[in-house]
Amino acid sequence: MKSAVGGIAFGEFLILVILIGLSIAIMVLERHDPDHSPLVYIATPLRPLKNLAGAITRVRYLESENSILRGRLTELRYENAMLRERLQRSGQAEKLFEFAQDYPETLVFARVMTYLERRDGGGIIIDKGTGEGITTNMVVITSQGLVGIVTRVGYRASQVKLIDEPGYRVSAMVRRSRSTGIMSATADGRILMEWVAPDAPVSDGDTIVTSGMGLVAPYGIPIGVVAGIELEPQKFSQILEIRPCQDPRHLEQVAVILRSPPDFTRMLGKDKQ
Amino acid sequence: MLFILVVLALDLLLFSKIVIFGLSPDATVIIVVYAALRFGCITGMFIGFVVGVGQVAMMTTASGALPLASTLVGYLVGKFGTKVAYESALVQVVIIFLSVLILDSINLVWLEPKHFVFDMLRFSLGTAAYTAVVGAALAGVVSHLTERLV
Repeated sequence: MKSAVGGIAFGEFLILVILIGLSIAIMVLERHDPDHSPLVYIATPLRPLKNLAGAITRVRYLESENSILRGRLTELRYENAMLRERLQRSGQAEKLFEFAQDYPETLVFARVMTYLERRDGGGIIIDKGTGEGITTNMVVITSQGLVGIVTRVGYRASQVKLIDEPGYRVSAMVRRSRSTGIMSATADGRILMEWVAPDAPVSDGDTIVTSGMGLVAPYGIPIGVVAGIELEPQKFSQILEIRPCQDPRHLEQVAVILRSPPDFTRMLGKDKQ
Repeated sequence: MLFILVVLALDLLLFSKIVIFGLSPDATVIIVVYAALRFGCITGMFIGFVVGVGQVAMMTTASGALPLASTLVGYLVGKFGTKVAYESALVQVVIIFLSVLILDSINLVWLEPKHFVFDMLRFSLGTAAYTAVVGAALAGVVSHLTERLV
């Protein structure tokens, strides 16, 4: 073993040559006749282990495929939800658009951006403002009825006071009997119609619409239906509880009537002149 | 036999899970290099040969050139790697990097000589770098654990 071949110990050299020879034999046999390769005989007793290794590889592949498919499923679910949402929204917009075709006033369509807490002034913010010709006191509606009135205007957004918020008042009328009164809201969100004549024929389910008096809101916009009737303690008038024709807290699309209320002060001043 | 199983299990269960840019470290090279540096070139050659034969016998996708490539890696690392300061992490990184390149070169010449350059640039360099870093880190962990146990 002390002799050396090119600086390599003979033992090492011999082992290297044998192993390389075996390796080359395996390579050649693997390529030309894989079915009769000596490795087949080594592999036969190892078949269960080979199967195990194959199973582990397959499981890993399936795991990775499963993970990809789960991701795809999540994507498709999201896409599906978005499409449904878009369909729903376009349905609402379509209704509003159809309604606008027949409506005599010019309307500006707006999307509800957010609902405000009462401490922030209440109401909703819509995505249209002075840029689209909106000014304060313009009436906001949907195809189902009255929503509220514009109270603040910015260039690209406006704040709308809803009909179920205290401070909002509009002259209203019972459609069937033409009895008039003033619609307002209580602090707890109930909508009432006051100052209705005590002998006015009103019954539950009667539709309440805007009367057009005061000229702020045009005539005939539905507000809701009568849900309760009571006589004022002094019996001077009836108080009607109104169930609104839509939930003003769940709106997505609205329309603003582009008609400013008349300035009575200026009108009266002109008459005096 | 147990040794082959440990290597294959390490390769299949651990190393094939830490894939970066489609590349995973080569456990067999780390084991062969470790054996060659620790026990010399004869053991390195034997381990290389046995691991290579085990891979070809047990994995349908393994190349027939693996026994030759692993034997040569075991021999070369055992012969020349032990002559440098292989305790240094940087030297270990270089040794494992070169070992993967040698192994892949032999494999690619045998399997796909036409795409040799492309495959070396696309896969082998990345695999070599990744294996070298993982191997050196493992060597550090093993030597730390050995010191604490001793």
